[in-house]
Amino acid sequence: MSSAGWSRDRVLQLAPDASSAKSGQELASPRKWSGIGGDEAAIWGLCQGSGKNPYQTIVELSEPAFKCSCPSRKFPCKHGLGLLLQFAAGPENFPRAEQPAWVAEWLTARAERAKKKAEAAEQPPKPVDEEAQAARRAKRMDRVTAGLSSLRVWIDDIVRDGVAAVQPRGYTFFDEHARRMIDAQAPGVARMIADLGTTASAGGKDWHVPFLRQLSSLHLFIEAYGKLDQLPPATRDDVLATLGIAMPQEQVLAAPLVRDTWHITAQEVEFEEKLRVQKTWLFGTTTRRAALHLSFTHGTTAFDASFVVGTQFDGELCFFPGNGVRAAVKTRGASQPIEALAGFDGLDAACDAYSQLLARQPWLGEVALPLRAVTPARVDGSVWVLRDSGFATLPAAFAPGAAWQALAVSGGRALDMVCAIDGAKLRPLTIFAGEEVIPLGSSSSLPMAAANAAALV
Amino acid sequence: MTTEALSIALIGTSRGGGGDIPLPPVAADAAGKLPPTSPERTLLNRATMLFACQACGVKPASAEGEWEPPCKPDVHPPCSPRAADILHDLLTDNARELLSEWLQLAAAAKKRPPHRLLPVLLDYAAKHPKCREPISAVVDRRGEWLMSQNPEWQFAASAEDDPEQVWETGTHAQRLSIFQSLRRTEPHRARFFLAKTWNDESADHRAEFVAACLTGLSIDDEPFLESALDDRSKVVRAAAADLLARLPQSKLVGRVIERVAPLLTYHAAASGSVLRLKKSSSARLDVELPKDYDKTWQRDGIEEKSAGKGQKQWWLEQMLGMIPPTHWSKTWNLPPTECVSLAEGDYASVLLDGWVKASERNPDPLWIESLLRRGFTGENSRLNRVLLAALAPERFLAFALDVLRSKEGSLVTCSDLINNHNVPLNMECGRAFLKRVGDLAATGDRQDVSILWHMIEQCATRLPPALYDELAAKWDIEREPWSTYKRQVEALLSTLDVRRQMHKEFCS
Repeated sequence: MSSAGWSRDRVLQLAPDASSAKSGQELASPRKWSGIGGDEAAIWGLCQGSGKNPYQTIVELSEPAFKCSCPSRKFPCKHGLGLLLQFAAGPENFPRAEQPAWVAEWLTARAERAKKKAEAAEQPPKPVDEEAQAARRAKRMDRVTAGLSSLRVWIDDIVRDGVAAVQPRGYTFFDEHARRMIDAQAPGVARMIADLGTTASAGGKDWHVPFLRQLSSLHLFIEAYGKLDQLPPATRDDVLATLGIAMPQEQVLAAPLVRDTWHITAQEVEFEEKLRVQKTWLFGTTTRRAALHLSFTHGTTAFDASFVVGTQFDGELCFFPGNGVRAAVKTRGASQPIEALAGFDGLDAACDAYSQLLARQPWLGEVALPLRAVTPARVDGSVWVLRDSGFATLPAAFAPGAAWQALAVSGGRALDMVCAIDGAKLRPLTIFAGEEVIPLGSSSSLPMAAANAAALV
Repeated sequence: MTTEALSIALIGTSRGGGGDIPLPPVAADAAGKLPPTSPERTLLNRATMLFACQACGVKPASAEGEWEPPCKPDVHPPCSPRAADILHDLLTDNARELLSEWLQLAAAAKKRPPHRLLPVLLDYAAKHPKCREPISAVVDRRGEWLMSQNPEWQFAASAEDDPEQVWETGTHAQRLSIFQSLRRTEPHRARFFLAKTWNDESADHRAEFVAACLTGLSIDDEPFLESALDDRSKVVRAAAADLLARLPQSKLVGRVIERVAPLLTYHAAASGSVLRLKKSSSARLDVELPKDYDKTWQRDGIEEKSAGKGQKQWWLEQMLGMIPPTHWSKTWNLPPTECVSLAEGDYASVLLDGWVKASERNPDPLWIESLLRRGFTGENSRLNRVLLAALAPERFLAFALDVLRSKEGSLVTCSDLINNHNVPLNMECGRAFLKRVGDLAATGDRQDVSILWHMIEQCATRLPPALYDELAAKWDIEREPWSTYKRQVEALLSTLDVRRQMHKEFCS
């Protein structure tokens, strides 16, 4: 059989934590397995564990989906990872075979569930108690208003006393206000305050420049919230989204569909308390729109494994109401490897694209855009930049060690790179060099990210 | 404009006056239309606009200046993706022995690591000096191009660099590397380089360069090394004396032989006469210790002070260590085994230790094997690792096989055999070793358990990986005796498996 596009890195990205990744690799050896086989849809095998009966492990390849009879609560478990790793390393060891009964049973049950789910989606949504919902919402808005007015006083104080006075006060100075905003049900604002704290405590030569920028952004938010009723609907949605009010799924999926061939360009994992957030960046080849897909998991559950950087799919996205880039995936066709990355051919064009987004959504933050034919290089032997074919440069803030990796892969020649842009600098996230797709961001070093996650739970 | 906004924000509006910071024209108009408010809010309003203008108006800088020229194409093709994955794991797990094997295989197969792993590999070389040479050997042009740009990786000189320039301006690591590679091809040129800068080098560096002359060592180096014996630093003198002792025809060896000759008196075996007028006697060696330390010995690297040994014995031992052992077998007209068996009595260990050192400097297979076999029965039953390393590969394998099969050596001896040689074991030796371990495990002697654990763990990097299948079939960890060694056998199998894959990836 062929490996159907499964590489070791891709499999390891599915691991819920570092220890699963490691145990999975230990199990990726033929001598731990018997009864190995596969067909187009799935691969399977029996793995001898500590018990009497071997575990029955199945990996459905398209999504992928995992099934294992072991008692592990991690998902996917080490057996699933081990089986898939072995497949990635040596698909020739998987003889094409008739599905054993236990495999066929599970695959059939899965297909039925998927069918039922699709049918349920066809049904009109349940009627909502709009009155109760409106009341809940009004109550929340009041709490936010109260929270923001105390924040207003705090910000004014900072500006009156001077930003320089902030740094010695340490992280707790911010933490306290961030907590208050959580209590005021404005998690988005809490995050903005936490970011201020991070900037102040990180220090550095010009720490006050980003600090004042973030402070201004928070100021603008408070002002905008005060005028919520007078804002255009899309901007109002932006404010509510920035505040951190979850958008009901049906409302998102009711948005106009944007059909395109979507390139999955970059992926990062962030940690919020015990929650892990997977940020997947997409780029439409025809619409040339960037989109951000978020998925959330707790603890050691794996993320939706189907978003694989370096692949593309035909499908429909629903952008969240407002002027932002966040989107939900409504329909998607089969994944295929990206042949030629769609993107911007000069840094100028990428800056323009970002400006246009930012002009409409001032709390936009970073947007990952694919840049074609850029070269990593150093100016004055120390400052890393990306250079386009017209010799235009932007500073590049690489993850630790990633700059040399990018330089090694490029060899001083142009390659395609996906970068998060924030209006001042680029943060390289993914390298596309020929057939190689190399993630550079925090999620690229899976063992590290996973170890962090393990430390949290 | 940012500077002004920031200077007010930094000190605070309470001290810095109004928040009326200047703005670009497009924003200034809009800002003018805002209702008047407090200085704090005015500052924040205007700063908000300023940052918005900046972020929306971000433009790349134009830089047509000088850029590092792109790297030339690599000479060798990349290794297979599977081999690259294995390399990645070995680096992550810091598995140094397997990494060395990977690098050897790659160099032999003329394959290079993938570009993306070069920085990690070079970082590893920076941290582990012993890995620098094998790593530099496989990184190809791309690696050399990267090394030239990162000061932390400048431990080796590139093949394309001008040696003279590196010698004049390079880092110590680069200079040592260029010196070593010159010694391989043009030893006299390396000597010439060193002579130019000799007086400016520190004592430690002088000693390192002298020691590096081991590569390409010949009698042509003698005048230089003789002059180094007059160096004011003891380490430099010791390094020079060590090299001269490796040149059997050197003056130093001649001087030492002259000093030792009167101290050893050999009496050949005498057979009894037919008439039994004389009793037969076996051969023997009379040893006399040097009486006084002669100051001229110091120049030849013979230390006066000993650590823990009798001083006079130490002088003799050092001098014996400088004389090629074949000198004695020739002088006495005796095969090496018989020479070795002459070491009896009070000074046996002085003779043996001296000869071991001498064999390391001037290896002779018969001498080495005789000394090793003598070691089995001696007080110290360990094999001498230095001697094993001095045996030529075929000789070593034949010797190891003989010892393993004959059950001559102890368990520890076997462990030394398997662990202390740079020669990969062949299948025969591997099987013989495993059979020894298997027999011992089967006897179930509890005393041996922990030694066996250790041996099973250690042989993982030494056994030929092709033994994997035989081993997996024979050593059933679900049954006695192997269930006692379950963890070790599993680890052994998985290491062998990785190595087997490595070999497959590079050899096919």
